[in-house]
Amino acid sequence: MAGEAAVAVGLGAFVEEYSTQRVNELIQLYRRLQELRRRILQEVEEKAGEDVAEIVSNIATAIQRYAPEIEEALADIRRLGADPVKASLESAVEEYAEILRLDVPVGGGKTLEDLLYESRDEVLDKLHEIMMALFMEYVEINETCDRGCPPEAAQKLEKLATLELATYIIYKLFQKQKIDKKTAVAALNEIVDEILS
Amino acid sequence: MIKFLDVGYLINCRHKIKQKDRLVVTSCVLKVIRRKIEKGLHLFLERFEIIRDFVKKYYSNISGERRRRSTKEIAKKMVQLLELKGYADVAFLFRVIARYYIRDLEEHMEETLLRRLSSKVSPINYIVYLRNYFKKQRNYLVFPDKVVDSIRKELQQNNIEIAEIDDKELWLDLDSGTDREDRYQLLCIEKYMRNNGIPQARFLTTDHRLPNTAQALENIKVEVVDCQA
Repeated sequence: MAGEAAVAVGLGAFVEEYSTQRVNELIQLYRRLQELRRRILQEVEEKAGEDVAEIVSNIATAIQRYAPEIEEALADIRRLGADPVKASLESAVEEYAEILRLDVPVGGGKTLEDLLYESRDEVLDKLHEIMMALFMEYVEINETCDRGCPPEAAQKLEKLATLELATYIIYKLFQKQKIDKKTAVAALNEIVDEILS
Repeated sequence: MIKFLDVGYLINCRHKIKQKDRLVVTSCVLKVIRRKIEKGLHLFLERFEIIRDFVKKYYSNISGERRRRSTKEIAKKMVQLLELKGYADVAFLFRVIARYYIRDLEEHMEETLLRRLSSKVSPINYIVYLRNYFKKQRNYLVFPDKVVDSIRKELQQNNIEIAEIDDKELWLDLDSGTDREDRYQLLCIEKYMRNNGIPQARFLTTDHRLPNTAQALENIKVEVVDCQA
């Protein structure tokens, strides 16, 4: 059950930063999950160091603490006949596909594609690798889970959801200059390796 | 006339078969390809950041839509870029990817990049996708075998024979040198001819230096073919 909670709040956490339209936004019930996610991220971010393992462990603890509220939101979704994990997964695949088409404007009349070619920003490069890695994994699991997720796929999904949340936190810490570029790149590198392992 | 094909021919040429020709590829050629892929792959992952910078620099002056190409076209452009920059081993990897349908890679790419994003791909997405594909569950360990299996399949479809050679002593007996792989391929052919009583053969290559290397072997006539022209 903790795994399902992690997936529900984790999937799409990072891509939401870039996405122009959140597919889930059409469903009021998902807003509750988004709100819970925001609170979890804020809480973990406030006490986060620069160690990925520590961040991942803090995320797991925070999700456990919020588990009753997440479960309540999930139960409401289920009552409407939807499978929250499947819905989160499909939504994450669509959002990553939208971002990875690279034509999303990111400010100053530039698209993400312009930035990737023009900038020599190592953090952006690492985030691009992570987005592609998560997208590849989510597409694969989405196919596997078409008619119910086997336990190993569900376990992998939980791990990916936590790593996506960790990506968000590292990125925020870097934006707020709580960690320097070198530390951010090293942490993001560790995350992408972990996603693909 | 029996005609043997070398690594360069296999990677650069589309096989035009005349009915009277008997085309043969030795298992040694496939072994050389496997080794070169292994090396190229290792370097691609090790120098990925540098290679990504080449791609960024090259494409930064080209506008979004014009950058986007099919994956095979991008792979061909990567060959040129990498050769210019002195990364011949990585260029070899891209040459093979551009030329052959590598099972699993092509299927995976179709499922993710092409079907979900677009059939025309941005080069930066393509190389990041490839890096991730190779790293995913340590795919780089099995990729060289997948390449060889895919080439074998295409050869069989084109009725090109694959001669399995017991090469244990051949490679070990060779001293090192830039033409070691060429001499190895030649010795494999010689061994096959000897074992099968073949008096004369032709060896098709794209390498202009190969006739020199083969000078001592009178019964093998080297024919240099320019397939890229």
